[in-house]
Amino acid sequence: MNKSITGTALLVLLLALVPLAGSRYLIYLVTEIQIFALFALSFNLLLGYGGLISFGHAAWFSIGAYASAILLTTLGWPFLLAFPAAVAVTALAAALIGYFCVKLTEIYFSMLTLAFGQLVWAIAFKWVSVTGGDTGFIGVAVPEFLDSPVRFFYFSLCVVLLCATVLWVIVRSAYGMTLVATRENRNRAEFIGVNVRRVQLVAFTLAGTFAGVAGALFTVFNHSVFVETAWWSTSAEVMIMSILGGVGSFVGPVIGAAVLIFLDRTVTEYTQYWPSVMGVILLAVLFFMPTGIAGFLNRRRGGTRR
Amino acid sequence: MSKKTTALLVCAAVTAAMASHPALAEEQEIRIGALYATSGPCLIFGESALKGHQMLVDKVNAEGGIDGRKVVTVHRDSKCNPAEATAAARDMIAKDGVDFLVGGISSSEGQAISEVAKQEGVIYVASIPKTTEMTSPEYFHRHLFRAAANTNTEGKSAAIIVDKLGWDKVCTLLLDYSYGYSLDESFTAHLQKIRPDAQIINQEWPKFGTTDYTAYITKTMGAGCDGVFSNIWGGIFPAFAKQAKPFGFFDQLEFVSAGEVGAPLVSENMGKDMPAGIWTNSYELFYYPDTPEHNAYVKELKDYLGSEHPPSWPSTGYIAAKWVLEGVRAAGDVNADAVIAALEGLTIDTPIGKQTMRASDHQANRGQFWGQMSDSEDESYPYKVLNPVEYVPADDLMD
Repeated sequence: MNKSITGTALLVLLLALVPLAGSRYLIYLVTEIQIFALFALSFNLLLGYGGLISFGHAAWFSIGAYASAILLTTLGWPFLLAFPAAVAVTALAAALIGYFCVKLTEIYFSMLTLAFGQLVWAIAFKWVSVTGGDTGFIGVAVPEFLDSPVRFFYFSLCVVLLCATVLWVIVRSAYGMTLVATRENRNRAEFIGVNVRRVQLVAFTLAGTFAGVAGALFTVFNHSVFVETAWWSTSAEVMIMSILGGVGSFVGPVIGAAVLIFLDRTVTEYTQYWPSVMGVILLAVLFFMPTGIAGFLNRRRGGTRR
Repeated sequence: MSKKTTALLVCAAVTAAMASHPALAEEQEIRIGALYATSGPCLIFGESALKGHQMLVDKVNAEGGIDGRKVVTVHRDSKCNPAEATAAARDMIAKDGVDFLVGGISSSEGQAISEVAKQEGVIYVASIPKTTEMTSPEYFHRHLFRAAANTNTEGKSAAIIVDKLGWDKVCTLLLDYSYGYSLDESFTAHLQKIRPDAQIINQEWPKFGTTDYTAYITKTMGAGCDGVFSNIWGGIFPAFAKQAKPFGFFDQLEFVSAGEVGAPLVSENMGKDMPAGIWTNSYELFYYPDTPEHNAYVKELKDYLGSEHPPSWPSTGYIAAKWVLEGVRAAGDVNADAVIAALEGLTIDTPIGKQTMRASDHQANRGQFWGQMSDSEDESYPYKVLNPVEYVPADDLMD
């Protein structure tokens, strides 16, 4: 426990020092990793802790992204109002759609999340006057205090750390334990009086909300939103990040996001055949580290923590 | 403990390595970042466009560069995805120190790169994206230039062809996304202007990505029109034509197609399935026009690609790169402000003739080659070609 606190503190310190290195490339790269780390963390609340396989997690990311773009630009709200409002919109949407999704279990749950996810994409694609359709929403009115890569880096670092802490507290809480119980044995949890659906709905809403935060950050980072973010492949990507990093550990998805983005960017730089290279790397990782990178490292350290 | 130390050291080393600027632009170089998709659905276009770009850059370097400045191309795969294009464009500016961006295929990629160009103050020459939105007052910014013809030029030149064919009852068969909407707008407006009696009597909107066009085909055939204006573009046209043919669609109706169905590659892929008699457009055609500049370009491209009948897509990358290089030559500098000033109103020679960059919205007056699909008279090329064919200039059509 003590060790992990020291580790986290070191990591945060290292991150905070990144902009001092003076490389804009590094700032951009780490900012993107932070955002996707939060996205993957939110996804792992469902997959790792709730055992809920969602194929539509991109929906929340893109709702957060579009909501912040629309509130900031089309409606001209001030940032300090628009950002939380965009997150609130995502939370509401996640609660509403989650209500229907958690009525189903297993593969039916997954299929329904996929269907709703694609519905969000279809709305974003067709509602051209609001979302810009397939040409995208560009020129987001980003406030001046976030208009520099360094300032935005620190802003997103703070937001992501705050969200990660909240998620950490959630999964360690009685509620978090109950969620794990519903994953381990749904029937037994029901017998001891757990309202499984409600527990899952809360998890679904929370996961959606934090994905919305990541989406809103991504909008401000890029000054733009594109309909491709709502496509199911984004949901697949966040799933790969989580599995690659390790769904059995809290930090697993963060590692997965960092590794996947770093690989994606560097491999693309050196070869046109990056899809094959990435495929081989992913295969190797999953084959030799079935519990993900985090699980592998844990075992190497002789750790017994799940 | 030692493991932890090692890990930390590695971390520090990586950070330091990435932080140092390995590619601080040398004074003497012209560094161009090329964003062409070489994977995903745009692969076939991106690869071709990149070859055209590279061919010009190689030639210029072999001749000693521009005023002694060597040209360096950094290519990143934009993956036909705007978010990837954004990240790649940023990387090239921040890490590789490029002074110029060229490329983009889809309209969304174009918009994404344009947004980065605006934020970073780097010149972007859009080689393929067509959407008029990019150069509209809402999104236009001074670092953006477009070498490609926009959707106004394409839709309006189609209206000119329709007027020549003398249609009065017009059907449209346009894809249900922004490209289709933009063409619908410009085509309809221009047709009303030059042929007031013509009426659009039926509109079908096939979903983009559909594989079954049957319903749209039968409805269009039942509408009683003289001809059909469509934008089922080159990559997906073969599937559509295959389904339309058994209905006698192309025998009963005249057909004017935007979306570069006239590109030689599409004819070659379709062979006998390419319907004769349809009117369509292309960026460039290796067999037209018969001018010394164009013939020289085609010969060069033949040698470069090792292909007797080179495709039309390399011209897009070639011309975009040409704008950058001629801009630098005219400015005598790679400084963005100087090059912007030089490019505004500049006229350059391209394989398809003289092109001028309009100062007001940085749109080149790129026209379109339009013609009718007919059997080739050249025995070594047993595919359909555009004949008769003409260049429809863009000067009056861009707005």
